[in-house]
Amino acid sequence: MKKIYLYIIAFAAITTSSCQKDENIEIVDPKNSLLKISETYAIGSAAKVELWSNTELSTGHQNLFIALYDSVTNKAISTATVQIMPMMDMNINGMKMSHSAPLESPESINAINTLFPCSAVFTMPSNGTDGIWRMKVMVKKEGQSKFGLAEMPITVKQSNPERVRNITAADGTKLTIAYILPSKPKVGVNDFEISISRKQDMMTFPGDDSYTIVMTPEMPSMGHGSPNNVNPIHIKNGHYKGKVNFTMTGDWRINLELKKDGKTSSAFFDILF
Amino acid sequence: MKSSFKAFLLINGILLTGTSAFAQQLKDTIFKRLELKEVYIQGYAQSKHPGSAFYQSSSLSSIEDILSKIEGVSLIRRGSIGMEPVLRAFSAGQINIVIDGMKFFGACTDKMDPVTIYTEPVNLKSIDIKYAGDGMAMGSSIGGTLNLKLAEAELNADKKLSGTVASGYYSAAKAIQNILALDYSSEKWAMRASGVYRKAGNYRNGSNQLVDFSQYEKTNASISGKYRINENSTIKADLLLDDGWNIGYPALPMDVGFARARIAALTYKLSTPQKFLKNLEAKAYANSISHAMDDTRRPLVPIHMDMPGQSNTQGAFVQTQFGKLGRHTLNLKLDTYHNRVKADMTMYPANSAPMYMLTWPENHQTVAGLYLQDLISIDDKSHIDIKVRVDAAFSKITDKMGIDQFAVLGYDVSKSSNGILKNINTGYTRYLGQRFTLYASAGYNERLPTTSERYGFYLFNRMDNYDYIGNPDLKNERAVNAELNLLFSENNFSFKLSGFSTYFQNYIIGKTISGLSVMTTGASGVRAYQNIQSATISGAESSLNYQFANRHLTLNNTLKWIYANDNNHKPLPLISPLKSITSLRFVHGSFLIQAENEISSAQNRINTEFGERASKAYSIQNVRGTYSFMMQKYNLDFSAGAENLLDKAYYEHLDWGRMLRPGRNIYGMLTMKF
Repeated sequence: MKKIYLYIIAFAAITTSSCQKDENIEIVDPKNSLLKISETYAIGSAAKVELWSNTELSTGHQNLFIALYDSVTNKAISTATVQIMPMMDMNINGMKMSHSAPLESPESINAINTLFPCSAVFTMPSNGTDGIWRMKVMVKKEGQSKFGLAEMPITVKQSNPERVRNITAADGTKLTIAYILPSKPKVGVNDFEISISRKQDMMTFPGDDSYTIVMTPEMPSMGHGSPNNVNPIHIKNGHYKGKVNFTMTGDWRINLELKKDGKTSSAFFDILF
Repeated sequence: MKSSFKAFLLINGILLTGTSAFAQQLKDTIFKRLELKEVYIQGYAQSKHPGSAFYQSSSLSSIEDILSKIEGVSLIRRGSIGMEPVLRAFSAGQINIVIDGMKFFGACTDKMDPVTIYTEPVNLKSIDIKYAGDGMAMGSSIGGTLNLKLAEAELNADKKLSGTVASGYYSAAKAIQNILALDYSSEKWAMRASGVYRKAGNYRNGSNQLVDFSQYEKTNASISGKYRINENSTIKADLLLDDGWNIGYPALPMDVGFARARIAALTYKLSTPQKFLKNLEAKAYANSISHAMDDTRRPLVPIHMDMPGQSNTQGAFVQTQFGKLGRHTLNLKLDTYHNRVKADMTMYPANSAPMYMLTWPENHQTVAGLYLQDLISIDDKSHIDIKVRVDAAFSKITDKMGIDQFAVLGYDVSKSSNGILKNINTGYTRYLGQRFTLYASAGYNERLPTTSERYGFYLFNRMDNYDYIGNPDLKNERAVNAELNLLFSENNFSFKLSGFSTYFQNYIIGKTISGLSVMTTGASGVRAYQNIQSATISGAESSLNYQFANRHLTLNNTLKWIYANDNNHKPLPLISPLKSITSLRFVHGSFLIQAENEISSAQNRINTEFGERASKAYSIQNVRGTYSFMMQKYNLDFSAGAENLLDKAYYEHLDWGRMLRPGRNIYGMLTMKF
């Protein structure tokens, strides 16, 4: 009988202690799970600019986060207009040229949980002194009338397997197709997302919503696919979402057919898990 | 179907009309001998069935050898061992194979390890076969029950210590077989220990070719102890270890690296014949099976694969037998078990990463059942036997990956699947005079879909060249069974004729799913298990035993025939053709000689959709002889014989890939008993 009382007391202790835990929800710094890429000052807007990302930068779609601090008080700035512009400076046999890449600047002037989320698609890796990436961040704090400019050198590695495809579509358009999801593929049903950007000029790569996509996953080493996939359809800003199914782990290839005006262009992404 | 059912009624009708004249007092219990299709294993007990000696041709016969000779049993053969028993036309999940009442589930997704592969005749007292729902005491089953009853140590035996050693050689596969059994007995306690070692090389078939990948090797060790607690009760412990390795399956694209079973059981028995509770038996048990397929020895394997499987079962039951209550005799049984199976596959392509998937996601199944039998005696010439069983079944996939895999197929298997199984069987026995007995039974039975049928994930079937996927929404298969048996018995002559018919609802069968791509390289397509509206199986069996010439000669004959259709009147796959085995035995003193003839008709009623091809008729002959003698205090038996004496090239209809069976197989063996 004594034992039963002991159990009851133990049970009560466990349940109450677990309740207490629930009451003290700690505010977690979102940067804890991120990696700081670089930092510098935005000249002209008295702000320190930090560039964060989920991972080291590599070719392909990259989620980026800008954190701003007042350069005097060092307090976090939560309202500002922020624009980004990745730049690649190339040196091809002495001929110098620069170009940008597909990007999505922060949508709102309000920071989300102290960060301004944005993204870029790095279309090629850094290549010593012949290919240098830098990130331009334009900041206009509340009340300011002009943008301040921060510029920081960044290093972009080659992703493996490659997460970005630069293709010339059947109608001659230059397209950048970036693989976004699944970032951690698993056996089962996965959300699938890509972005398609059209090259307008060297500095402008708007999202393109005009394609119908047929997606076919396959295992190249076995030659089979998977059933019940959902073709990605356009959501917004050149992002297309669908469902991709994997029946086992291993090497998978996701074949994409981009259809427009009766013409088909194709590309594929390899993934391994 | 209808016509065949009528035909069998007609046959029975003719035989019945001749019997009504017999209305004498019942003296014999021959009916009991014949009704219970229980084959006693030699060396353990004296057979009660007149045909028993014909089922087991020698003390080294395997369980498969014995089963193949029983009229209602066929075997699906994929290799030299590991053949899958078929009761009448029912197999796999339709039948219930138990060891001493213990539930047991193979760990191979490709049915390479039926329960029968994990025991040896030396482990057994008898093989008890009950068709349709007759054996529902052991669990819900629509096609029948095969109970492999374990041998027991004997208390208070004549000898304190006794034993058997047997060793034999078989020429076709250059096989050696060795058996050792030891029995110790005292008033208070008894022990039995046995060991088996078998090794076979590739066998030579009837076309004088060696069949690659038909080798095997296995050992089996068992120990059983019994202790008498008091005058009325005993406690028994069993431990059985069975290890097979390097087992070839020539009809499949891969072999078995190892197949291991561990079985432990504890049984309590109370026997108080004078009280109302006459008998009580309680048992707790656990078994574990590990199985691994192996393709490393095969040439030209496109992608090497590892395919291991695991099955663990724990269970318990209590059964009681009560004394007479007026006209009624009641038996009650409560049982439960839990089974966990899991199987996976890792593929190693030449130039890329390994690929991993679950072929059986981890499936936990718990079943609890209540069984009640009432034997009602109407008068001294007839009785009715009513059996009822209800099972509650719970099944759940517990691994996330398995749930995700089935999400790909559009199924949500994250919730458990629960159901009730209902079974009822009624038997009517009437003694038509001294010589004839009529036994009719009818019942309704249900069974759960198997793990493969529910949760199998791209399991390749070599027979029809399709990948099979499970269907978690399958309904229980249901069957209405009817059976009519007529028995005739005189001193030297006994004859049994059985006719049976089954009507299925929700028959489970694979159907091609278009739009799914195959996983196995070269497969023709993907099939998923589905319930079809109906199917029918009908058939007949007979067995005959005649002793003559002053009992020097014994003639034994068995015959079986089955006819089965799906709802579109197409033949069901894997149905044996008409087959008959005839044996003539001559015994004189310590000398015995036996000639056997096995004859099978062609099977042209085939289901080509399932990769079946017509098979030819065949007949083969065997001869055997035994000479027994005493040497000092040892009892020695020398046996020799030739199976497939004329070296015929033949295969049975249920042999996958039409692999030819062994050619002339000459054997010799020596058995010593003390």
